[in-house]
Amino acid sequence: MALSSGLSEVSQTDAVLVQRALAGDQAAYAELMARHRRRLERYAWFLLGNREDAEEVLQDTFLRAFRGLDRCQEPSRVGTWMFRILVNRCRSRLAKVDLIERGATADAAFAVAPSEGESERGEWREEIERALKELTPDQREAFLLKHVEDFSYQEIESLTGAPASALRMRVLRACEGLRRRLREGSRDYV
Amino acid sequence: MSDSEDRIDDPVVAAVVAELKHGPVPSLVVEDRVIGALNRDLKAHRVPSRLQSLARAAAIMLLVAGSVVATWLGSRRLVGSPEAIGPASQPVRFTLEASGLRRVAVVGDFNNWDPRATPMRRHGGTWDITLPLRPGRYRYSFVADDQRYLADPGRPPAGDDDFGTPTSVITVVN
Repeated sequence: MALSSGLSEVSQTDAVLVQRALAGDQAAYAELMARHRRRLERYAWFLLGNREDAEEVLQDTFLRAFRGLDRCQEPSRVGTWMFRILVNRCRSRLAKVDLIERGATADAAFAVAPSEGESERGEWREEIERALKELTPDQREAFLLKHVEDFSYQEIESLTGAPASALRMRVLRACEGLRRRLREGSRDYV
Repeated sequence: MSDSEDRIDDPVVAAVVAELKHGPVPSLVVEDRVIGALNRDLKAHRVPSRLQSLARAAAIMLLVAGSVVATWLGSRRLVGSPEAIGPASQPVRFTLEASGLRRVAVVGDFNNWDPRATPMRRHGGTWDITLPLRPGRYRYSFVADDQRYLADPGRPPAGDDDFGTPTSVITVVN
């Protein structure tokens, strides 16, 4: 199934970089990583909730993508193809590790320290990240893919293998959960 | 996709999405480690040129010796037949009904997904190959004309392929 949003915008240059990387040109692959990392790291960060795991899955994703690059059937959409690998890596990671049990360590790692004058925003951000972590992994995954990464339900179905009806329900529950948790004490930031 | 599915009516959720989309995300610095690992891969697979020559010569000798042995054994012992494989392996036949193709290969966990490793034989509109596989679960695909990956319509799809390749799965049991 073709994926079409965001990262998947057709780019001739991506296709050329893939060809060069397949020929062993590491600089070309470094350029591909730099080009697509922002969205990949955002997803890994918000889904997993701590730097250690997010870095590990991102590194694993880039390595697997390089080693399987000849299996990328649409080189001009290599970014979406990498995203698919990342989604699977994150799922495997969540299955192996009970991230919620990491408690305070994860909280400290997750929080982005606000710069001076941004403390209010920093508190709001911390509230959001706490609320995100209280969702189930399935809900968090569906919410991030749908509303932050802007994939359609059809595309998320293709990425995750979960039926669209279940995905809609997860997104709905995620929105309800976020609304309930954040309304309690964070109205000032909205 | 309907518009209502994309619209976020609740201001709290909309603010969350805006923050997650546009707020800062710490940079996860992994590129150097990835390039380092790829360099190690290359070094591990790099064979000195003298050894390459020796390996090439050895491969030719093995090929010749294999042909002689195969001729001596006669045509009954095909690759993958029970006589030719170890006791722990099972002969597994892969088939694909497809006409109009010039080449078909099977790739999977058993041959490192190398499209050159296991070409299939054509019999009219059917491509097939029998491989000795040890018990286990294998994901695989067919590669048509070196370009397209095809799942095996005769076996269940593998739901856990990282790369989005149409992939089937076979479980070999004792």
